[in-house]
Amino acid sequence: MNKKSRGRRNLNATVAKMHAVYGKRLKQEDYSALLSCTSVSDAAGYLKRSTYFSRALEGVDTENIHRGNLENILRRSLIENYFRIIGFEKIGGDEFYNFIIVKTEIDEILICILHLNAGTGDHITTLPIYMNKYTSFNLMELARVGSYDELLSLTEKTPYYSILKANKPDESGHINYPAIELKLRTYYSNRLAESLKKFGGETEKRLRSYIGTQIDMINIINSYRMKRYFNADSEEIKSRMIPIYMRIPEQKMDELYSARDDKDFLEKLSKTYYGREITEKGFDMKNPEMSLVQFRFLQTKRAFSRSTTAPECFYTFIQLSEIEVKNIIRIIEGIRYSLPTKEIAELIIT
Amino acid sequence: MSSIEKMMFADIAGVESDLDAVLDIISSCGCFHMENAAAVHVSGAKNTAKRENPYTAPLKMLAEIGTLTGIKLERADSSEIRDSDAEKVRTDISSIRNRVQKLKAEVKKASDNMNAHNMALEQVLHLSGGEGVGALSVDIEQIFACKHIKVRFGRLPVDSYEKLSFYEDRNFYFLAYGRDKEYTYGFCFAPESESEEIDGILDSLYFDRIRLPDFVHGSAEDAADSLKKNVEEDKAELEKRKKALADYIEEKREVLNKYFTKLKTMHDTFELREKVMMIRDKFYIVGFVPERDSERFRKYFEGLKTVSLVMKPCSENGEIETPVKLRNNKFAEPFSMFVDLYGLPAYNDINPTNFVAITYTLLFGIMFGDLGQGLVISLLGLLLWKWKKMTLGRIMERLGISSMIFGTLYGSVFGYEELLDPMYESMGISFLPFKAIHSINNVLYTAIGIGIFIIIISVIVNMIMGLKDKDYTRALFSNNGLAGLVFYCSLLMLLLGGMLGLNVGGTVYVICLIVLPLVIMFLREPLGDLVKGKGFHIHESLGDFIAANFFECFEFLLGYATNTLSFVRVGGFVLSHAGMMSVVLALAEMSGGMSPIVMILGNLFVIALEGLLVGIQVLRLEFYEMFSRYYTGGGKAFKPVSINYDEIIE
Repeated sequence: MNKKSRGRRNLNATVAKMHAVYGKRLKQEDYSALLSCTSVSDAAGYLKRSTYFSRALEGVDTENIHRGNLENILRRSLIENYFRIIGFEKIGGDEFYNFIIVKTEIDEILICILHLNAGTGDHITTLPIYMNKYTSFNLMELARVGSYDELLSLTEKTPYYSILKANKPDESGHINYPAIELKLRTYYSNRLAESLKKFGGETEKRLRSYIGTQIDMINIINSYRMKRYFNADSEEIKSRMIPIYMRIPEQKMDELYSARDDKDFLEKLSKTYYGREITEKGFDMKNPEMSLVQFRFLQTKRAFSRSTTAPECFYTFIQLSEIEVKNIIRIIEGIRYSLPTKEIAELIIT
Repeated sequence: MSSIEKMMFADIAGVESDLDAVLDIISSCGCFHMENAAAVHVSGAKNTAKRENPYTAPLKMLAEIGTLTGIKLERADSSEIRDSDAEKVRTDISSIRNRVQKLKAEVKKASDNMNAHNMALEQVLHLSGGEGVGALSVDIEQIFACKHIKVRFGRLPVDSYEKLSFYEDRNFYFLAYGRDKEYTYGFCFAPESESEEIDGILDSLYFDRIRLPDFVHGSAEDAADSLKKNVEEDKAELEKRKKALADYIEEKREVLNKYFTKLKTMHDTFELREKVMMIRDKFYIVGFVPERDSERFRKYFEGLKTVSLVMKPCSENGEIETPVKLRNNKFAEPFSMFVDLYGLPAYNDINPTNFVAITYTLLFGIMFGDLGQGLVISLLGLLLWKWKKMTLGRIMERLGISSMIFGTLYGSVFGYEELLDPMYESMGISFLPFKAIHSINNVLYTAIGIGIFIIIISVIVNMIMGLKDKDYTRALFSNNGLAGLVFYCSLLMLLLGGMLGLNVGGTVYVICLIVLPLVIMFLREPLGDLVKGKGFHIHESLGDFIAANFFECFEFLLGYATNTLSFVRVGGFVLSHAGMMSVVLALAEMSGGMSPIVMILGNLFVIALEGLLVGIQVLRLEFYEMFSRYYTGGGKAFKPVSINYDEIIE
């Protein structure tokens, strides 16, 4: 079996399974019920009683649960779901389907660098230790890293080494986190794009387009934030954006980055494909950040519902599941810190 | 008789002081479909009458009471509560909410106590060597006797337990003695001097510390005994607190329902202000009222001297699309579900429910004709309607009867094709022309005949609609108009003549009745313009016109053929029913002399599978072969203003 034909394996059962699992997702009424909870244990109890998270929370004492532990369990449940799906028709050996592991590795390296820069050492608390057997380096050792050299040594046999080595700390010991983050995220995107090739045909084309538009949207959202909150100049913004372009050419993106201020940015954005789409879909640009995020979510939902092949379905399904877990975590944090329900509700992406 | 309810356009104006009274009328009359007045009253400095709804806050308190106690508030008679009592109602609800919160906190406290004692008991049982996993026999006295070592009992989430190795250079020891899916149980020893730091580490790992009550001393067995006693007392206390909460809610349920009904009415009525337009101190409300209710509606306003109500026919309102309310007879009424599904007709359109009801019932009966199974479907429908109030149940009642009638004609009862033969023989009928197994050709030809008849009827309905709308392209020149009808019928006559060996046709016939209608369909748009007096114009380039219309006419031809043949499925299902039931009979015979169990299960299987399939197929015929010829849908539903008592607050 050559590479392409393996990529084109008939995985209808996996597709059907994902659609079935997606059918159990949290609905608006679940979010309303969670928002009306007055304590973390109430929210955990609801998740256990009334949602598909009951499986993840089976055996968990929700009455006495700690917020951090609940968040860890939810994140772990996401990963368990992921492994359950790739185990269904044994597709784990395929490079493409391992993107979540690569993403986790990159996320953890970046957290490690943040801790190194801050001089703190409590990475262990949030460390997804359940991923240790899948990652290309030992996560426990990563938590123990106390210097950049130790980080280099730990990742020496991984593809991240060359990026990390090329971005060593300056003389004062400060690590250029944004530069490393950009390079690692770009590496991730390129690796993902590379792994799509074996699917070929429409599947590759549609996935490439979907992932490309997602990167466009991430760049738009991040550059808008930089413009709005730091009034960053064009060069600085561009240096922090992933250099991959899909529906807005590089030159047009440069024009966005060089906007006078956030209002000018939105004005310029309104003339692009995304601006037109967002207006057409009736998003309220009074809160552009949230509208952009909601639009991105809408695109993912559409891509999932229209997907008929396993790679498209899988990639978008994982994105939707991540958003769902993030929504729940936002609610739990909102409850824990006694935020008004309305404020929490505004942060939920549905 | 099915039709579309005649509507009147109502324009209400008055001074602001009468607005609440008018909104009360609108929300309680049950016959007023409200529209946004801004769509009509466009001149002058205007505003909506929308303000912050004063009834939202007390309703939210009621919702909180509902969440805390799990009771569902319901509609009740609230006539004794006057509008002026609103403040008292608010205060009362607030005090009930506070009391509920207090009682709920007491329940939680009792529950927390019980949980704490249960957890302590679990730990002690581990220690005492009884009932626990990996039991460890230790004397608690000895542990408590340690002077320089702090001991923490508790559990770590399994992920955190794995992370303990990260702290191997720290001066503490976690002794695990039990594990389940989520937690590792154990106790942690640390030097007293470092206990604060170690507690910090344990906290960061989400260690659930289980505090042993002060009375837990002595041996582990003694401690377990006293804890068990404690848990029993906690249980009793918890029950007592729960009962106090339940009793209080029961005591207040009636008054809460009354408050809810009153507040919800006031809240939803207040929300209507969003569609009210204010120009200075005057308000404007517009909407629609069914003509038959217009006099009743007018009477509500007789007491309001400063309010003017103008009602006029909908034809005089050009700005807002008139909503549609279907009026159906009893037989057709449930079938409006299918019309809704496709989209309501426009106000000036026809109501197709009668046509759907008749054709759906007939086609279902023909395709699923079985006296016994039809009876089952009818009874099942009756039950679904009586118990679950499902509209589908009412449709099933009708379909079942149709199935029974056709089953009788076919001579089919629960798959037995000969059961009715003696009855027919006694009536002197020896051969049933539609007995599926014996007359396959008859069944298929009849199916196509039914299809042709239904298509012709659909085209005629479309022609009538087109003439009514003065849309001559649609009525006369289109594929679903007169030209299409002549072409279709002539072609059928030609084919039929050929099959029967009759001499139908000839050059004149072909030119006048087949070629000419085809040319008319080809030129339908310019001809339509010509009839309207706009002259014979082709709006695009001649090349584009010819290319587009050539393909469209080709599609029409294909459409006539495929739509007609589509009705073969009607016959196909008659045959498949007989086929499936013969399989059931064969299986029953194979399992030893017509096993009743196999017969019952087989019949149920066929009813479920074929009933569903036939239902869907007939719906497909309705939507694709009939609606597509004469019906566009796209109407707006008439939704009278009402109060939604199903949700406390949306």
